[in-house]
Parts: sequence; C-alpha cells; structure tokens
Amino acid sequence: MTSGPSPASGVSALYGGALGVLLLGERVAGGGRARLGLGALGGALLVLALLWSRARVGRASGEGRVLERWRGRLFLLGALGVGLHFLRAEGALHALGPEWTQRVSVLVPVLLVLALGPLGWLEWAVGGLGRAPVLELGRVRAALRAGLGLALALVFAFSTQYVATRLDVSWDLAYFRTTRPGEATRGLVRQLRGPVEVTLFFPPANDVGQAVAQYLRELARESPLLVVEVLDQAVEPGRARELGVGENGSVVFSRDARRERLKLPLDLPTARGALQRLDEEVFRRLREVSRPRRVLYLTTGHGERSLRARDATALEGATPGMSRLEEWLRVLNVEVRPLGVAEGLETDVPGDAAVVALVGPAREPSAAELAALRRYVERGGRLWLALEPDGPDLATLLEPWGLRVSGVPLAHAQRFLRQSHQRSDHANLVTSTFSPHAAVSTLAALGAEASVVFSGATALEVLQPLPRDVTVDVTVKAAPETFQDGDRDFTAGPEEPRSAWPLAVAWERKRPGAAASRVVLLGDADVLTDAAPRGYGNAYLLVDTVLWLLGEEALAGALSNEEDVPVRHTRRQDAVWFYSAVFLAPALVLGVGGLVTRRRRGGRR
Amino acid sequence: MRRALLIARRELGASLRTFQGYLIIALVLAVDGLLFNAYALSGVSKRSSEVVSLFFLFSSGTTMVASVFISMRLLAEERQAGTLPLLASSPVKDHEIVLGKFLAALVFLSLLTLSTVFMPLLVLVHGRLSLGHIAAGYLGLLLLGSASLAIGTLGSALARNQVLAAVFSGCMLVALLTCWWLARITEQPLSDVFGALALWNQHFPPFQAGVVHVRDVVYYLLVTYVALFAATRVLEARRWR
Repeated sequence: MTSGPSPASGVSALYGGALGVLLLGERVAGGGRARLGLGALGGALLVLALLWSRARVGRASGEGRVLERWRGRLFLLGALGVGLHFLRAEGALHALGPEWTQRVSVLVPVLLVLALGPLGWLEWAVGGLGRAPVLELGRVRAALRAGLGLALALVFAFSTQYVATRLDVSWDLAYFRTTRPGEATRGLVRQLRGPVEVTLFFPPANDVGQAVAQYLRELARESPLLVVEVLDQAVEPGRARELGVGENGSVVFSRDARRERLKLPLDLPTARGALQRLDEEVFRRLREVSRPRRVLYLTTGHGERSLRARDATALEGATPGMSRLEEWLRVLNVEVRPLGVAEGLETDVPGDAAVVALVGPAREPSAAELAALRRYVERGGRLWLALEPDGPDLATLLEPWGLRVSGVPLAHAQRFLRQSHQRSDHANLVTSTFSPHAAVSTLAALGAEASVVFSGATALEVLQPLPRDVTVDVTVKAAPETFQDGDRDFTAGPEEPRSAWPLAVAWERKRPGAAASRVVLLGDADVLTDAAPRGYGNAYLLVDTVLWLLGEEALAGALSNEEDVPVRHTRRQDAVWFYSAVFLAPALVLGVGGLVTRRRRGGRR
Repeated sequence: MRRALLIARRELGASLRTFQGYLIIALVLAVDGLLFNAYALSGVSKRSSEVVSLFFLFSSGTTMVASVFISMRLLAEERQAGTLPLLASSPVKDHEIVLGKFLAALVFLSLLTLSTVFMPLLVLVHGRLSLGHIAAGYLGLLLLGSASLAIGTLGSALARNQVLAAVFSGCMLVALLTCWWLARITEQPLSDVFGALALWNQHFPPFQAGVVHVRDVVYYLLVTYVALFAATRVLEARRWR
C-alpha cells in the first residue's frame, strides 16, 4: 500500500531549530546562565522533535512509514552527536582517559555531518514530491544516498586536510629563502675553543622559531661545543631574565659572561628578510662571543680612501667610501680605527694593530711613516696595501721586500665591465684567474663562478731574487691579453705589452719562533671601495684577504647570504614594460584569435 | 574517463574556436598587465621577490574572477538552452559530464593563466629571482583557479541560467574567502575549522612567497573534489526532484 508524501517538515524545522539554539548556547552565549538557559531550551526542543518524529512513525503507514523511519534515524544520529558533545564538555569522559576525549571530539562533528547532510537532501527530495499523488520512495532513497555520499566526502576531505596539515611537508622554492649554514659559519663552529650556548626564545610551533632551530641544529653538528636550546619565554621567565630577554623572538649567543642577542620577528612573512641574512648574523655573533675583537688601522693624511665617500675638492677628486668593507669587517668582529700623524704613525704603529691598511694614497707617506710601517712588518705585522697607477709607488718600502708597482694603467679590449658605455670601460678589468693561496681561497673554490672587477688597476711585479725566508704568491692575475695602456687611450697599441699581469700578491716572511710577517699588495684601490660592482667576487677577495692577514685563513669560506636585488628600470624601460603588458600581449592574443576564427570561417565556406 | 575527455575536448574546442574565448584571455591579460604596472612596478624601486609576490597577489584575484565567468556557462547554459536532457539521455554518466566540462574549463583557465608568465619573467631582465618561485606561484594560481572553477561548476549546476550561476558561484567564493574573518571572531574549535576553510587567506600566501606546503596543495585539491562531487549529486538530483 502506498500513501501520499509526508509533508515534511515541521518536524525537521523543529529539529534544526533545536540544533541552532544549542549552537547559540555553546558558541555565542559563552557561559553562565545564558548558556545554561539556551542549552536547556535546545535540549527540550530536541527531545520534542524526537518524540514528534517517533509519533509520526507510529501514525504513518506503507512507504510513508519507511520515510519517517529514515528521518527518525537521522534525527537520532544527530542527537547522539549532541549528547556526546555534552558528555565531553562536562568532563564525563575523563574517567575513560584523554584519548577518549579526543576521539569523541572528532566523532561529534562527523555524526552531525552524517545526520544533517542526508537529512537536507531527504527534505529537498520530499519537498519536490509535495504535490505528487503518491510517495516515490525510490526518489527519496536516491536523495538520501546522494546526501550521505556528500557527507562522507566532506568527512574524507576534513580528515585528509587534517593529516596533510599535521605532516607539514613543504618546499621553499623562493630565491631568498631561509638560509642554511654557510661554509664560513661551519668553519667558525669547527674552530670553537670553548663551549658556546645558543638559546632560542620562541613560542611553541612558531614557524620562525622552527626555521632558526633547524638552521642551528644543522650548525651544531659541526662541533659538540655548540649547544642549542629552545625555550618559551612565557614558560621560562627566570632563564629569560638571566639572559636579558624580555620577550619571545630572541636568540642569545653566550660564552661565559659574553652575550650577543639576535632579535627576530615572530611572524614568518615579516621575518623573511632577517631569515635570509641569518647566516651572516649568526656568523657575526658567534665570532663576537668566541673570538677577541681585532683592530684594523686605516692610514690617513695622504689622500687615501676613507670609510666615508668624499666629494671632489679643488685639490683632490671625488673618492668613493668603503662602507661595505666596514660592514664586512664588523661581521668579522674587526674594528676600524684611523692611523695618521695625530695617532703617532711617524713614531710607531700602535701595539694593538692586527692589520694596517693603506688604501689608495695620493701622496707618498713621509720617510718616518714608511720607517714605522717597515718596522711594524719586520716584527711580524700585517700590512694591506692597495695602490693606484696615479699614486705613489712606495718603492722605498716595497723594493727591499721584492715587490714593485709598475704605475702603468691596465686595460683589456674584451674582458671588461661595461658601465659608462665609453671606451674607458676597457679599464674595468674582469678576471677569474686566482691562485690556490689562502688569501683567495673562496674565489679559487668558486672558480669560474666568481669574477673580480679591478677598475683602473696597475700591474705588480715580483723582483727576483727574493729576500731570505720570503715567499710571494701572485694571488690574482689579469685575464690574458690585458695590455699596459701607457698612452691612456684605452686602446691596445702595437707597442703596449700584453700579458696576464699580476693584480694582487701575498707576501710572507716566516721567522722561527715568531709570528710571520704578511703583506697583501693590490694593484687597485677601487677594488676595496663601494664603487666596486655588486654581484661580483670582490667581497670574497676582501674577506679572505683580511682573514689571511689576521692569521685566520681557516675560517675563509662563503656565507650563505644572497642579497635581494631591487628591480631598477628607467622611464623608457618603464614605458616598454607598460605597453608590452597592457597592449602588446592582449593584442597578440586577439590577433591569434582573429586568425583562428577567420580560418575556421573560411574553411566552412 | 574517455567520455569525459571527449566532452572536455568538445567544450575546449568550442571555447577556442570562437573569438570570445580569445577576448576573455586578452581582457584578463590587459587587467593583469595594468595591475602589474600600477602596483608591482610603480613607485619606489621594489625588490625582485616583492615584485613577483605582488604579481601573484593580484593575479590570484583575477584568476578567481575569471573562474566565475568561465564556469558560469558550463551547465547553466545547457539548462537554459534546454539541451541538458539531451545530454542526460546520451550514454554519458553525470560525473563524466561534470568532469568533462570542468576539465575543459580548467585547460582554458590554465592557458589564460600561463599566458601571463612573461610578466614575472620581465623581472629577470633587471632583477634576480628563482624560476622555482615563479613555478610555485603558478602552481598556486592553477590550484586556486581549479578550486574556484569547481565551485563555479557547482554554482552552474545549481542555477537555471548563467547570471544566477555567476551569482551563486560568487556567493560561495565570497563565503569561503571570508572564512578567515570568521576564524578571527570565533573560538576554537570553530576558528580552526573556519581557518582551514579560508580559500585565500590561509592557503595562497605561501605560494605567493615561493613556498609550497603539501597542506595547501591538498586543500585546493579537496575543495575541487568536494565541489565537483556536489555538482555531480546536484545534476543527479534532477532524476529524483
């Protein structure tokens, strides 16, 4: 026997209303009497809906009864979910153990979805049959199945998403990603002479904290003397106070009483830039806590290059500064101080000088100053000389050591850096010919990947025979076919000799039982300045040279930092980009579209 | 699957044989180009990664809008023209119809999206960036586009005509987009659910920054799957409605 479709859905509306009231009580009311009141009202409505449904099952007959049973079962399934929710919320499941609380937390939404999904589709189907003379149970069954399938798909989707989120597998394909320890930092850790503690203060499961911890864990594999600890400042306020940390997002490097702090944002997008320079920052702080600070004296008073750029005067031309070199020296924990007549250069070089640098003097230092420098080197000092073709050749200082500066500028017709698009660019020599000497070890390791630019360099000469106990290594040579541009026209003349001229030499005199004297001579002062182009190996040349002069050549190596490059474009290039992106590309697409559709029309004709 | 591919081929052919298909691609290209010049390149000199990130940011917007317009006709047009019963009476199953039409729309959207690739590559001329970053960004765009298209297909299955389909799809997309806001004003565990559901805010920014998280890939694939599954069930519903 069949009967007409059961008019739905007062009972379902009551059921939905009951769940809505319960949701309001649980999620909106917050707590107290409001929650209690709404909970009681919702519960009462739910029970009423269940009783009404039960009564409808009793009253219905035939296929209508089957439909009412399905509806009643879905009601019960949802009510079971609600009941379990309240059991969990009131702590009734504690006795079964925490794992049961978790299981029920997952089960509650699953039951609700499995009840409400099919119920919605069932009511949709029944609503469609409202004016039909008989109830077609097959249609309702199909709707029920469809609803159940959709509910199961949702459960599957949420479960899969939960698992994928928990796995948290990721790949950072960006150019500027969180750095990994570079060779220089690894070398520094390998050379640690005492324990260094690195304490990270980050909240649990913080992305930035995890990135830094991963970096430091990898670094700690290099030496057991590096101890890494991750703490939450909120949980360990005492330890944080002891290390001078007031909030999370701090990394403290400590050795005995020496402490260095690195502050990082807690939010990953904001911290991205800092994470890209993490290796450099860690290297600097590790050096500061693990090694004594050294002093590099920069001579003054002879028109040399200074740290700050200088505008042209009536007597001297403009000179670029050396702020980039200063930055690198700061990373190496080397302090730069001036050294001139006022600082006593005519008498002697200060006793705390780790290195003395004379960069691009325009005038010859006085005899007393040269004598002071000579004495300094003879007793094991470290001298860094960078001379220009137009400047003094310091022959009285250099020739007794077996070195000479030719004073003739060099140029190359093919291997040069194009800067001004004038013929003078031929003087911007690009070379990647390095010896395996420690003063250029990183460049030698990088090989053809690294080139150094010397702008307006002069050739150096090694005089034979060399003095006793002295070794000289030509560390950087110009590219073959580099010519001595005697007439300064930047063009190779037939009488201008060509060769792979020495551009940098490392001089060393070893004495038994005493520190070795070391001198590095460069045939160009601009190679040290901010005028040197970025993106070339000039920075490695400077860092390795300083490390060799300091006697710390074992620490040479690349830091894994990459500097993001600003997109620079002229107004003309701007216009080209604009027209190509806004007009040219769409016009091309329309052109292709026109061709395709016209050909098709033609073919049809 | 073979029949689904046949439908996809027919649909795609229909899109590419008419001038309107190219017009849509050209329009999106022009809008992307305008936004790229106006926001990513203009003003102070920006870093390469920032320019690329901004490009993917607004491209995600145009991709979602384009998805609504591409998908609105998929099933609603058939219903509007009265050809849906003809299609249903053929030996093609409902899920094959939905899948075929969705695949055609996805290929079209991919063509449209990939035609903008010259813009981030322009950054290489005067800046520096990794091709991996560009690949990650485009993967994100295609996944976001796939999810948006699937939602659009569901909207198209629900609606009687194309305009309604666009409205339905737009509403569903906006609802999913604003989940991040609901996540902020609700408490756990609802905030977690809303947070996980947010279509853009939670899942797209990593792609924009060149980072591929499996959880984000899985999210977009699941949204696509559930929406297409629902669209199939809605199409089936005509048998019992």
